[in-house]
Amino acid sequence: MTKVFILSSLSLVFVGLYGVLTRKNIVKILIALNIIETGINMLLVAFGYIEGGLTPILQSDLSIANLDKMVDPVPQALVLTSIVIGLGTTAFALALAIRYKNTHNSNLITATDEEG
Amino acid sequence: MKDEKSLFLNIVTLLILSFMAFYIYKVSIDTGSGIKITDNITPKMRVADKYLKKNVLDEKSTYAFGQTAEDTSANIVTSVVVDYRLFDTTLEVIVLFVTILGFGFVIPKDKRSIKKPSVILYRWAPILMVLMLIIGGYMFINGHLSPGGGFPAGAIISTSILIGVLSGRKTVKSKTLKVIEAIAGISIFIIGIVSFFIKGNFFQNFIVGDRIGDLFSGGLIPVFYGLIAFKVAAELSNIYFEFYEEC
Amino acid sequence: MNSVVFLVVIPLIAAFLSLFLETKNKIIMYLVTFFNLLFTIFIFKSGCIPFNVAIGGWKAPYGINFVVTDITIYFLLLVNTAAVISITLVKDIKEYQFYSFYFVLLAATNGMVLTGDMFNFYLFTELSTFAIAGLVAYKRDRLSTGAALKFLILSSTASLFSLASIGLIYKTLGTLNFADIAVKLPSLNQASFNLILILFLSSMLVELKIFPFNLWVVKSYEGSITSVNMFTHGMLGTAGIYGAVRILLIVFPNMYKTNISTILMILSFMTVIIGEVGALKEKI
Repeated sequence: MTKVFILSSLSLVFVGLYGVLTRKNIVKILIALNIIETGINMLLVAFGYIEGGLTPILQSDLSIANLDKMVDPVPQALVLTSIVIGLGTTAFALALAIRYKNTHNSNLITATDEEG
Repeated sequence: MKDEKSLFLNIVTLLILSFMAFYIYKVSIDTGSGIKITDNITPKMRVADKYLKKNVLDEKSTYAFGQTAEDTSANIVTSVVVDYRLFDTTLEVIVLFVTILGFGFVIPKDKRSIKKPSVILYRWAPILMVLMLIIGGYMFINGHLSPGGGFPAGAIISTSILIGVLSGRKTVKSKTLKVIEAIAGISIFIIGIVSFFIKGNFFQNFIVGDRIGDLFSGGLIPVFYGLIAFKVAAELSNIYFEFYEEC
Repeated sequence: MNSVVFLVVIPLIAAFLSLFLETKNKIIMYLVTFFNLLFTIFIFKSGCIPFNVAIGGWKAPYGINFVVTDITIYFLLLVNTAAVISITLVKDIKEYQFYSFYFVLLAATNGMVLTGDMFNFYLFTELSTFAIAGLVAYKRDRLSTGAALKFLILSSTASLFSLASIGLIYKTLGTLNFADIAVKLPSLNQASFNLILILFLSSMLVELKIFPFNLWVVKSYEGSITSVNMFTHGMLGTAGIYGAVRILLIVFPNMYKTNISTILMILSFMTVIIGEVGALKEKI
C-alpha cells in the first residue's frame, strides 16, 4: 500500500515539474506548482504510514495500549505547515500575476531582456 | 504562445525528467550497506516514539487515559504541532501574515463590479453565517481532542464573512479586521515572552496538571488555537475585502 | 542565555505593530535594528559561548533548539551590522508594508543563523523569500513586478525540493535536529545520501545565488530600490552563506566518495566566469 502512495505522489511531482518547465502562462505555472506541492505532501504522509496503522488520536485506554500501531504524527504536522505555505505562495503569486498582466499586457513569462 | 508548443523544449524537458526518474529508480534498487530510503522504518526508531509515549522529559514515565501527563492533548498531531514544535507554528502564522500583506500590497486597485445578490441569498445569509461561526468555534475549541484546529477553523469562520460579502451585507469593517489580526498576532508572541519570565523558556506550556480527554486540557493549546483561528479568519477575510471595497 | 530568542521575537512583534504606527515606523525600525545589534554584542561579550537554547523546554532532538557557537556569533554580528548600514539608505517611504517586510526579513535572517533544526531552517528561508519578493515588488512598475514574480516562482519550486529532502531525512534517520543528523548520518546508504544531498544543494543554490540559479539576481537588482539591494545582498546573502557552511559542510560531512567542497568550488568558479561575461555584455 505504501508503494502505491509513493508511486502516485512521485508521478504527481513529475507532472508538475513538466508543467513548470515547459509552460509560459503564469496561471498554468502556478497550477503546476500546486500539483508538485500536493505530490510532496502526499510523499511526506506516505513516509510516515505503516501497514494497518491507527490514527494518532487517544480515545480510551484501549488506544493507549495500541500506541505501537499508530502512524507517525510528525510528517502530518509538517504537512499541516507546508499546506499553509503553499496557500501563501499561491495567493501572493496570483496577485503579482494580476499586476503583471496590467504592466505587460500579457500573462506569458518572456525570456527577452527588454521585457523584464 | 508559440514557445509553449515548442517541440525542442518539450523534448529536452522530457529527457531531463526521465533522467531524474531513472536516478531515483537506481537509488531505490541500490544494494549498498547502511539505511536505504526503501527500508521499512517504523515510528519506533524515530523521535516520534517519544511524542506518542509522551515521555520526552522523563524516560520511564507512562500515562493512562484520564490521568495527567507531560502534554495532555488527546490528539497527538496537535500536541506535536502546538506543543513540541510550537515555534514552527508561530512562524507559519507569520508566513500567512507576510503573504497576505504582500497580496494587499501588489494587487492593482482597479474598478470591479459585483452583481447584485438575489433575494434568497440576501435573506438566508445570516442563518448560514451563524452556522459557519458555530462550526468554526467548535473546531478550534476541540482542536486538542479531534481532527481540526486553528487553521481550518479560521478558514471556516472566514467563509461566513465571504457569504456576507457575496450577499451585500456589511458585517465588519476592514479596519477592525486589521486590529483583530495584529492583536491576535502580538498576543501569541506575548504569551511566549510571558512563559519566559514565568518558567525560563520561551513558548513553554505553563498551564499543567489537567487530565487527558477533558474539554479543558492541553494547557495553552486551546488558547493558541483560538488566537490562530481569529488571526487566520481576519487575514483571509482581508482578501475578500480587497476585492469588495473597490466596487 | 535563553533570552537569545528575543533576536527573533522582537522584530516579529514590531512587524505587527507597524500596521498602526504610520509616521513613527522609521523610529521603530531604527530602535529594533539597534536593539538587535546591541543584544548581539551583549551575547558576544557575555562569555558563555557556546550554548544551546531549547525552545519550549523540550530537550534537543525532540524540540526546536537554537545553537550559538563561536562562528554563529560572528555571522550574527555581520547580519545585524549589514542591517544597520542598509537602513540608513531608507528614505521617505510611506507604505507601512515596506517596514513590515523589513522586520520579517530581519527576524528570518537572524533565525536562519541561529536555528538548529532542519524544518525550522526551511521555514525561515521561506519567510525570507516572501519578504524579499515583497520588497523587490515595492516600486510596482514593469521591471520590479516581473523580477518579483520570477523570483517567487523559482524559489518556491526550489523550496519544494528542500521539503522533499527533509522528508527523506526524516524517513531514513528519524530526526530533524542538525546535531542528531550529523551523528546518525554515517549509518546512511551512499546512494540515498547522494539523493538527499542533490535535493538539498539545489535548493540552497538559489539562496546563495550560484550559477545555474543566479539569473533572478540581475532582474531583481535592476528592478528594486538601493536599500532593498542592500537587504538582499547583505542580510539574505550572509545568512545563506552561513546556512551553506553549517548544513553542507558540517552536517553533511565529506562521506565516502562525495566531496561537497569540490562541487561548491567548481560551481562558484563557473559563477564568477559567467557573471563577468554577462557584465561585459551589458549595454550602458
